[in-house]
Amino acid sequence: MSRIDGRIASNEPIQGKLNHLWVKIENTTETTNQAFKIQINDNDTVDDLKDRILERLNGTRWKNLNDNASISLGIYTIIHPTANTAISDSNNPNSSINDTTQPSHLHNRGADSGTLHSPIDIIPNLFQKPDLLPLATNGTTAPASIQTDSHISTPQPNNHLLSKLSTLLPGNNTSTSPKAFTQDTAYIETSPQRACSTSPKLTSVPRASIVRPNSVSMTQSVGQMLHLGNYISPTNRLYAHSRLLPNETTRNQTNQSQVKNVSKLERLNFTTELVNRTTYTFKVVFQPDELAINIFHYLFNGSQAASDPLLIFSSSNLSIERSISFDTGNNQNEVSLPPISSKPIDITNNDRFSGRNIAPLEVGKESDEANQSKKISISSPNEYKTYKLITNEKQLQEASKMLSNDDQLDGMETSPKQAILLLPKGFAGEHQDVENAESLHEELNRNYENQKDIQEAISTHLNAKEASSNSSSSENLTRSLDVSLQESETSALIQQHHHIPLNEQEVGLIDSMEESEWQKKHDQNNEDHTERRNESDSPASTSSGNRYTEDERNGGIPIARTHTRSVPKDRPIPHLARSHAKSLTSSAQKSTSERVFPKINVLIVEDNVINQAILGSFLRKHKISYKVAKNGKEAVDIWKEGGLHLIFMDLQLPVLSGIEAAKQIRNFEKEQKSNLNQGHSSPPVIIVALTASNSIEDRRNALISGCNDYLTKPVNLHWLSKKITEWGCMQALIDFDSWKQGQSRMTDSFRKKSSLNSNIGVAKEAYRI
Amino acid sequence: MIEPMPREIINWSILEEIIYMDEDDPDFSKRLASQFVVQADTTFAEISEELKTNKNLEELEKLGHFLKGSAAALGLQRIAWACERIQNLSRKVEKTFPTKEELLSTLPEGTQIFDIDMKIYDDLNNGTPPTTDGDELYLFLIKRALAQAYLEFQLARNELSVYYHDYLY
Repeated sequence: MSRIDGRIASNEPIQGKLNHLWVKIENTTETTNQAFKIQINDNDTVDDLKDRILERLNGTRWKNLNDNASISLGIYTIIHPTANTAISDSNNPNSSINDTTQPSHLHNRGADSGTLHSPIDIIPNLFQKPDLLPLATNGTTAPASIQTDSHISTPQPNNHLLSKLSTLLPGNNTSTSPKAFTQDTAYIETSPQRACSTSPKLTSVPRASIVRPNSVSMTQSVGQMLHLGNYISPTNRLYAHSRLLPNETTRNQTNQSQVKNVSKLERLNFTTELVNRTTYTFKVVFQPDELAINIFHYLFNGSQAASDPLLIFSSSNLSIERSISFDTGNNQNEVSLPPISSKPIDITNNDRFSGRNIAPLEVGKESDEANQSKKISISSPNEYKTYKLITNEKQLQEASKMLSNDDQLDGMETSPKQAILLLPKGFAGEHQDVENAESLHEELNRNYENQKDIQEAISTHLNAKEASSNSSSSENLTRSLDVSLQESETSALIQQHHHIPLNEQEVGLIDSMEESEWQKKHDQNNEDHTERRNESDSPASTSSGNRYTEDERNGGIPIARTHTRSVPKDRPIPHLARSHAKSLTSSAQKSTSERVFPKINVLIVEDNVINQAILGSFLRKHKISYKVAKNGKEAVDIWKEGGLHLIFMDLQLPVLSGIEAAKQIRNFEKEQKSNLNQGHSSPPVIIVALTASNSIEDRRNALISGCNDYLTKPVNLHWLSKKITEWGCMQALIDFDSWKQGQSRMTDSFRKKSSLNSNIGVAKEAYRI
Repeated sequence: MIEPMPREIINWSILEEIIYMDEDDPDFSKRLASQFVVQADTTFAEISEELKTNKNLEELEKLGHFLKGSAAALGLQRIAWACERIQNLSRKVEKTFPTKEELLSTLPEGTQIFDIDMKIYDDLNNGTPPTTDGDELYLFLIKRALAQAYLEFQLARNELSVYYHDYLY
């Protein structure tokens, strides 16, 4: 991000036009706070813009309090919770034609993907309230109240910016389509979040510049984007092409996979933060590397009024920024990090997370090759809070008591904070189940008005154990990936006495399962999830490698992670979230099965081109990469190249039979292992025999020769999809690291989720003591 | 004990799984069906040739297996059945083959057989079984199984052509 002084001048003649952005300091105590113009050049990033603002304000008191790192640019917006309920495939950004008339599109990833998997979706859902007016204003401090919900397109005519944004939003709820999904996942906000949060309460009271100590904010680095995919004005095309130039460093990489779709390349990068849970006001903060000109064009459509200024958020002496960095190597999608004060902290550091002094520590170096990177940004608006590690239930209760006392004293709606108490594997819990159920009952009585709901919830709670143990391995695996930092398999206990039971949807823990199973079970599961977390001894079975590495990092010491939720205790959130989840489920289904399919490399060994074509087409349909071998010898040769996870081996093959090929592969594997002696050899490939007949002998031979499983031809494709999931998960269990590599495309989405989960879940606002 | 022949020419539940993939790849299933027609024609010719010249049972077994695989994958179950007979007769695990009357009676009612197909079928079914127990018997039965497979192939092709509104070559 070079900032060359002379550039302004040199660019001017070329561009021939000067653009200006109106900016205004948000929430300052200065009496003479007015919007002012900042000149923008075509190559200016938000970061450059901030410099210019600071320059402009040189000499002011504000300037003395702020520097480039402490300010950020953004807007306020309202995301109505029902945004997620209206999901229409026709909104697919790839296919929508109507959109061409619109200036641009803001693809709000917070409301996107239409799935229950992504915690991104959940944030808005958390706070949904049916009786909320869609256009609740967010008070005097938010000059631009923008409704980003495209589905409730009720632009206010008086608000220029609002109407702009509402057209900007085609409703990116369409990421269920594979294309959009990969596209989304290909772009990951790895920048630590810039949280310049002030008071989270954007109520009608003009805010003081200093945040109240015990206010709570829900911050997420969602990596939301203004997506401009369908904007096809000449300017935009120009921009799209410029993005393809090789010296456009930051994002070309991420776009490589999307070269096909040039029009999708541009997008605005921003993070959101919920600032007012009543009105669903989100603060949209543009990423420092976003081009100012893009904001100018796409947000303001090239003409901005002084009354719609871009807001300058200041986090100076107000916020603590931290980021936990699991720098595990995949920097493919890394955008340039903003120069902020955040420091990576190590979650394995079990000391108090206190104040701002967080030592940078690198975690997870051992999995550098894992091609997976998780960035967790944590931000707290409250510098007065201290963080306490809670490692057992008793501590949690004490903390909780103190917390609730605080709440009473303050008389504020500073919401109960929830904690997920992570306990050692096999922890039995001081609570007996009965006790659990009783306290839950009380809880539910308070929370649920609907008697039926109470009964449902209780019964599901009591059945939760059974339900969780029923969950298949693939389910658990996927979940563990989703929530790698959430540690769902370890005993997670909700401190429930003063708080609303944690709803799974809110945390982003959705069991992935096969589509049809989902359909069958989802009603029931939604119930189960609601209470499953109350289980003190949730299943520790089928732990994946992810869990394992997590344990390693922690050195076996459990870490308390708390989940903060800015919800008053009397709001029946779980019920709402649940019903909301149901409405989302149908649209989530498609992507569910897609996500379930592990990213593995498959080899089809089949001499018949028709069968090759069928299997190949099937795998393509499910976005599984594959190779084809015509005979056993080819199969062995391709296997030697490495990287295979699964082989479909026809048994009767020319040149070298499938049985022989399987034997050879197994022998080579043994050799490799003994040669290396290091345990670093690639894990055994899973070989699935394709037997043409029901002959028991064939099957027995196949198994003896080293095949792991067999399929009878003709292969039932529906069944095959189940088996692929199973085998892929087997592979993951055998060798998680290499599986993760194969998974890298997938993990982009997981990573995003993880960072979110962690945002919510990891020590963000632990208990104040 | 020979497995009874399936009644329906096409097992649609299997073929529909492939037709389902047309969503992503239009005409995928039709291309496959056309490909199968070519493959079957070729394979029948090879089997026929093998029966006339080398009379190598091992080779016949492979050919039968090969065609069975793709026929079964496409849901063309009667062809697959006949191919399996060729396969098993070649391996000498079966020693009999049903009469053509028996087999024709298993066809769904109203199945139309073109005269030319019927003629080829009858021609291939000609001859009397050898009295010896050697390869001759198996080769003879394979020839009858081939006749059946070929007839079934024509019937399946007709049905597929109707489905795709296009005669499959």
